[in-house]
Amino acid sequence: MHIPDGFLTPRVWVSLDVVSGSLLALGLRRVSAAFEEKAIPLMGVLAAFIFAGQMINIPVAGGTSGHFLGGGLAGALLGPWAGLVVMSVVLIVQCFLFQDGGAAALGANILNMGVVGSMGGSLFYRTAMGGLHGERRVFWSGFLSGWLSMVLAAGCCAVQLCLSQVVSWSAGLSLIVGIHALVGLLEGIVTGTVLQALSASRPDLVRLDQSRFTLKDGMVWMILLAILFAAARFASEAPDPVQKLLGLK
Amino acid sequence: MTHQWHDSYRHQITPAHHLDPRSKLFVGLLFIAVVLLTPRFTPVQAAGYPALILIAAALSGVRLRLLAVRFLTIMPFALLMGVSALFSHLSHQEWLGMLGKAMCSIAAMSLLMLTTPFPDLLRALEQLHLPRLLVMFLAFLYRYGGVLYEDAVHLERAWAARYFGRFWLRQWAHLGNILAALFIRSYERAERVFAAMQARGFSSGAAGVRLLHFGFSDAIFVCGGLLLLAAVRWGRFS
Amino acid sequence: MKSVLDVRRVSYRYPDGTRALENVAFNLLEGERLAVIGPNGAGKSTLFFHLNGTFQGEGEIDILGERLNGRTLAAARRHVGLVFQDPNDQLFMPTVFEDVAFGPVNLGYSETEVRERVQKALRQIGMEGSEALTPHHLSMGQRKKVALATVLAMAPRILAFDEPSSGLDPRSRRQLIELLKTLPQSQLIATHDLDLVLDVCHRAILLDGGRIVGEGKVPQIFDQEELLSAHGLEKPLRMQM
Repeated sequence: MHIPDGFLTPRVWVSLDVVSGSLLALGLRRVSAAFEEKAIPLMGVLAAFIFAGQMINIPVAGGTSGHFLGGGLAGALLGPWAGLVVMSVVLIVQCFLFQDGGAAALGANILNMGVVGSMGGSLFYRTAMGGLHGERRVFWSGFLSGWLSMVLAAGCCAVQLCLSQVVSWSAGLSLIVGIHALVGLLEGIVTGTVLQALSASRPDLVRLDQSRFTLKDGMVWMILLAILFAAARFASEAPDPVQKLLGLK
Repeated sequence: MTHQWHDSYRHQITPAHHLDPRSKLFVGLLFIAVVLLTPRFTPVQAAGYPALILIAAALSGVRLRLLAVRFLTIMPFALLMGVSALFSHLSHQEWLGMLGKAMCSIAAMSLLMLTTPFPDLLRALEQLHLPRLLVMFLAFLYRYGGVLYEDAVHLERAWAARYFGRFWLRQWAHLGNILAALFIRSYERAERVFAAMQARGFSSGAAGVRLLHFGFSDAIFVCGGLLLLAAVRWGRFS
Repeated sequence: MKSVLDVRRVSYRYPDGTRALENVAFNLLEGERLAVIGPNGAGKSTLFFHLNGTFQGEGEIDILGERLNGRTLAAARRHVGLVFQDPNDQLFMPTVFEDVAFGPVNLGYSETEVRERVQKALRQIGMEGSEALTPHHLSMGQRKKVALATVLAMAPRILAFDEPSSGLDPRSRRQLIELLKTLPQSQLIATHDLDLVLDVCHRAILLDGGRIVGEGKVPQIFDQEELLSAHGLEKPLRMQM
């Protein structure tokens, strides 16, 4: 799902760089306040954990192999801000070391996989944990977190590509979202299994204390959605102040 | 003990390694930004931008084969995304322009990473005022990514030695167990590293050591690069 | 002979209640190399973490004559250099230089001073010129040496090693043994490698179940076969011939 450079129009990638950059800056402050001196080793090593997890090849039917993304898992385990920071760190390193995803497109990729993927994953996990009952609720909450976060992340990716007129809306939404809805099932299975296994062996490491969806979480989400909506409207309006500023029109 | 991903850039120490990483980073990212912000490529730009990369590559002393291999490894992924663009309303020219921009960005980043070791890049980012916390996170990922991947491989091998089934879907569930074990190991390692940091006097306020020196060749590189870039972008050649 | 480290009746209980250390008392003389031997789980690592204040138990610890407490913690970490069992936990920066410089930088030295200390530490372990290397590309033996350098750069008076020879091939182990003998610091060495103790240490204390159950000069302590076998140990291989 990493978007390379060149595919997004300047309106889209510049505005998303600003949005993601701001959210990341905010996330850094939150993480530093929450973990204090432990923040560096903890976030650093856990980012390495997500990174290592993504490198593992799993066979998918027919001889190809797939990879685990981990956005939903990061959010469920670490909470929204730490999840965002961890995924952003992974994406930045992948961009530089492997050219996986473009440099200018980092804002878009962080939004998709970090904000929607991880913060969304945290939200879905908490909500599901609050709403579900029974022995397997951790697994199903994790499954939902993994699957939904992947589908929505793919949706955002598709929207960005459509706004940049790289894909037609119908093809974009059906193809990109459709494929990831299927792939997301695997992501969901892994996410659910990890969370179930951890809550059995090391429940102290899972954020089970935040299992209720609060009004404050809802408000945070309203604000984030408003920002995204504004960015999308801004990106598709003309005349475009950003492009004017850059002397392109 | 070597790793494919760590080592893809360790094949060669080039003359360009001696440039301040800040100048390479600045020129590289500026190049990408200018290319991406060029609305439609004129023929001069379509030839000029790649030419700038090749000139930079030649001057840097990088073995062109390395750059080509790196570039060709990444391009297929961009092309794959490009294929979906065929289902859009883009004209051929627009489609080619899009891919051209992708290629320029990939080539520029590849050249940057072939001439700048990642730790140097991190120092450059820190001294260009990227938040220190973020730089430290990146550094730790770089340091421990390989270590944790090895842990994952060991766990995977131990599991594979005891698993005799063939149904691939089960492997995804098993990945979950491997990742859970890896997570616990990672967390415990983070605690030990924290203890090691504290044992050497760590507190969140401490600053890093300034190690970069912007020199005369850096000034020439930056000025020359900017001039050439401006010429290609805005020059009128007819 | 002056005592650089005095441990008096130190006890420690883990958060879940298990006793890790009970009335541990010993001292370390200046220039001495003291071995801490015992079965697994005896509390060697826990004891070491008391020496730099990571754990705080009951009892008193004097380091270079100063009582260890909240105020003297920073100084204690400067004087006592802990070398961990797994060098990967101690080498957490992207390059060797940055790892070895980490301690001096935190101590507030100037850039030139930091550079000098790094070079001196690397020279002591025989790895000058390795500043730009990533720990990833070093062998286990080299990593152990660099981990030691990260501690030496802080110029400690006391070194505490947790299983220094574990995981080393014979040649690296031999190099380590020779290195330990040349270092001027007073040393505390927790190890299963009894032949190393025979080679390197002047005295040994035997720790089991969080208690000191034996103490003596090397090699005389190894003559007490009953004591050794009662606590999961045996004679060094060299003495068994």
